[in-house]
Amino acid sequence: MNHNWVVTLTYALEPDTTTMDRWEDQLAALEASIARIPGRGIDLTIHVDDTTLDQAVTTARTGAAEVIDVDPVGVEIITEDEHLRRAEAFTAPELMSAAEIADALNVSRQRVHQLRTAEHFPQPLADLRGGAVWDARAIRQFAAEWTRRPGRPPAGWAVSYECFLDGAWQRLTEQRSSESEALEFYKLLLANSNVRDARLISSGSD
Amino acid sequence: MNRDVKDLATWASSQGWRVHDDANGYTRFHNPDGLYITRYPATPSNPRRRMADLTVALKKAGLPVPPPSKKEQRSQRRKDQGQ
Repeated sequence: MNHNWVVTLTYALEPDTTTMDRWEDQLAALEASIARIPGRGIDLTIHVDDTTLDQAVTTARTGAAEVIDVDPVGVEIITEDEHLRRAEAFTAPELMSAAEIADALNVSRQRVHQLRTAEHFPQPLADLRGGAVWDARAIRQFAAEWTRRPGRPPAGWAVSYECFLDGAWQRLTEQRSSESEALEFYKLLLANSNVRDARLISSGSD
Repeated sequence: MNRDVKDLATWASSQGWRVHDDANGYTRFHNPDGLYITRYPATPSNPRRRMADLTVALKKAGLPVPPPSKKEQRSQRRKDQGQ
């Protein structure tokens, strides 16, 4: 099937600028352009119109061989449409800051930082001094799958207290599944001389 | 410098590339290490193709091309709506 093709021949060569210019001028009839790929050599890009894939490769290789007397180390052939799509594609992701995520999820910035501790929240691409940045696609994916539970989270109970251990006071917290269990544990602590500052607290989780 | 290549040249310069016009009207691109990469003619025979070749070559040579910022996207939407 006939198409407009873009053939890219890769050469393991390190020509100087003058040589690259001369080759490009000699291949002007093939709408050729030459570019250096650092550390890999050069790419010679040739446009061949309205032919089959095989004819396009033959035309490009024959034309190139008249100017560059070395075999290429690689050949890539794509349609012109694919070439244009690649030219327009971005090489870096769209980034989002915590403030932009807050806007996108319709929550506060503080809530974004809470969400960071959730296991399924995307890891930031970079954590800079000015704040973390995320890939916007990952955030949109998270937003699509995130199950919101608006309002106050369901309450749980815990007892926080300081205990004299290994020669120092250390703060510990014990979770309890009901208020009565937490109260019972709290009363036990009040009777213990190695315990101080016991607090019965109601807490919730995400 | 050809108008088609101006935005890309400005972006490349901002990323540490050296971009300059030579005496023959070619815009030449050197990467941040000073290595010559490619050129763009003042009057290409097919600007769309040549621009695609240039963009692909610069990306292969390591020039990052990010998506437009939110500000640019808003500006583009306004332009599109105005047309």
